[in-house]
Amino acid sequence: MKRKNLIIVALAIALLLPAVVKSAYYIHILILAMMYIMMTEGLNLLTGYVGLLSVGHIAFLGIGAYTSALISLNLGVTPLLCMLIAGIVSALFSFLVGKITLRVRGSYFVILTSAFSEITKLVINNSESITNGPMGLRNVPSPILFGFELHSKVSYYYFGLALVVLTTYVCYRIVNSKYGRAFKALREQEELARTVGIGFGRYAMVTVVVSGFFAGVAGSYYVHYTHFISPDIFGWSYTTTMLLMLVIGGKGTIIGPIIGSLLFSFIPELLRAYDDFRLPIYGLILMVSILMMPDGIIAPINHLAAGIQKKIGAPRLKS
Amino acid sequence: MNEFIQQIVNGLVIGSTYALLTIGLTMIYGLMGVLNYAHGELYMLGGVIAYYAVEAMGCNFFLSIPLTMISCMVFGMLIERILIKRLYKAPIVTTAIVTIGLSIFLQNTIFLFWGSMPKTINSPFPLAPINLAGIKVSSIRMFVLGVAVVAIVVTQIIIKKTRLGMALRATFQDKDVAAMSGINTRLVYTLTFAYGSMLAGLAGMLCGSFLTISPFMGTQQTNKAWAVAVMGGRGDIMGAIGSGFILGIVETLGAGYISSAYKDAFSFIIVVLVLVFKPNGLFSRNAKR
Repeated sequence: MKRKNLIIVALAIALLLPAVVKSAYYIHILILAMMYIMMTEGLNLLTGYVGLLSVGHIAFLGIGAYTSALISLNLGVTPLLCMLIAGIVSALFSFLVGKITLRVRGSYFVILTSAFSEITKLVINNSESITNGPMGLRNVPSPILFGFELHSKVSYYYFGLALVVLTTYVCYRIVNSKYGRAFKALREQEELARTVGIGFGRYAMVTVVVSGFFAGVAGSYYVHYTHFISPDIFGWSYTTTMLLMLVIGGKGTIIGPIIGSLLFSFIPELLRAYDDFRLPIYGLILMVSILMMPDGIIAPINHLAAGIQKKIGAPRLKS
Repeated sequence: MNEFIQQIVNGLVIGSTYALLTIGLTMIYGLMGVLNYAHGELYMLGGVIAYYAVEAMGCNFFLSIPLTMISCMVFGMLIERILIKRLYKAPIVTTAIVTIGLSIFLQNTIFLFWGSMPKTINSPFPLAPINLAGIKVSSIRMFVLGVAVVAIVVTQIIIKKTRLGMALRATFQDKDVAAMSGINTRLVYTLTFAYGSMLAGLAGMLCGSFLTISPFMGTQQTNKAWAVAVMGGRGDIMGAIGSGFILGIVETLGAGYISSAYKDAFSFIIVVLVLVFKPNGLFSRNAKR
């Protein structure tokens, strides 16, 4: 099957899904999956393509969510505009953070990103006059699109789907531009890339800012759906879920984060049957799956596709 | 003035536990290059094991110290043998996620039978503080400081004077040459991890006797230990000890004189400053990146 056909089929399934899935609960999970796809596609640019692991990415989601909630509640800005502003504010913050963090690499980059996310959490937790502290902000309005309030779950799902398509398209274009080629060059052979004039800082900064923007939009998307935001969003669980989705889906590919996000939006829900044992089992799944598939689920799928291709001679499914 | 000195003393007490916690982390990071995000869970396990030993099984408080240390050492050994050894050649992303996964697993498994209530170990020391020339310090805190200092000194002696320490230093400098000269580097790795886990457990137990223990306290300790390790410089044990005390003092003074709400932010602010201005650690001579 050609890649183009594959995308059309996937989109058709996504569009028809609400007609088949009648359970509001599953639609809810799908809406959250859309948020995760936006996050992980952005994070993928940074972690998958440039090779910098950020464990503090949730901070930008939080900043986006709080920005959106605050300006829509206090200034009455329409939520769609809020979403754009949230993205821009997050991108600005990520630019500042990038200025500092991109001075170091490897483990130190990881530690710095987690330090930044902890600082953000503490600031939001303690600025009670603005953010209402640990109590959080309530009654964030739903977005209005062409005079139509996106209050129902199904409409919000379609809204998310549109954003996801947009995000994925932008990421696809970036990856297949000169930037994308520079990322690959830097990831594989930094020394060589530098000698031909591809500097690390500038290209890494682009991904930091773009991923910050998408995280901000995802945060805004989240807050206008749940109508509530509190500092709990900064917990380890969101960060690990995101990383897990990225790595298990297959980092460094465009389709990987989508597969990973869908998979790990539903797996924790399946574990709900085990109630108290849910999180310990989740921790185990995390460890075992990463150890067994460090390149993600996309690798065996590609392998399988390559096998089929050999038999029928179709082009290979790639990124 | 007295109040200031009192703050310093309290800072030293907290700092000594940070030092204990970080010695292991920086050893593991320096030796094996493992970005261990589960180190704080051994600290948590130390507190939990000691609590059950003392409060549930009626074990003597002083006897529970070696008991906790040995249990944490065994746990560390198991974790290294089962999990960490698979990560020595893995990329950072894998290591980070696996150790975070381990931390989620341990936290929530303990949570199953602990519940969410924070608890404290009752020590046999009197609650009334000792008055040392106008400075009031509770005796349990002095005991904690004493035990931590002894453990730090013993660690130094082991590293500097024993054959095991020599093997450790050799492996740290060049693991291939060390392996060629007949050092079992695999064993050195396992023992280092176990020893680091033991010190983290000790720190957790000591803190649990004057602060509170809860299943989720490890996360913050991991982050703080990383802050201290970064301050000290990669794999630098003396640096980690010095930085641990510095962070303890900065935190108590900061909480006392600046803002107690931001007490936990100081470590992260220090990390940012250190990595920007002195990325090789506070005590490094050259500021080259």
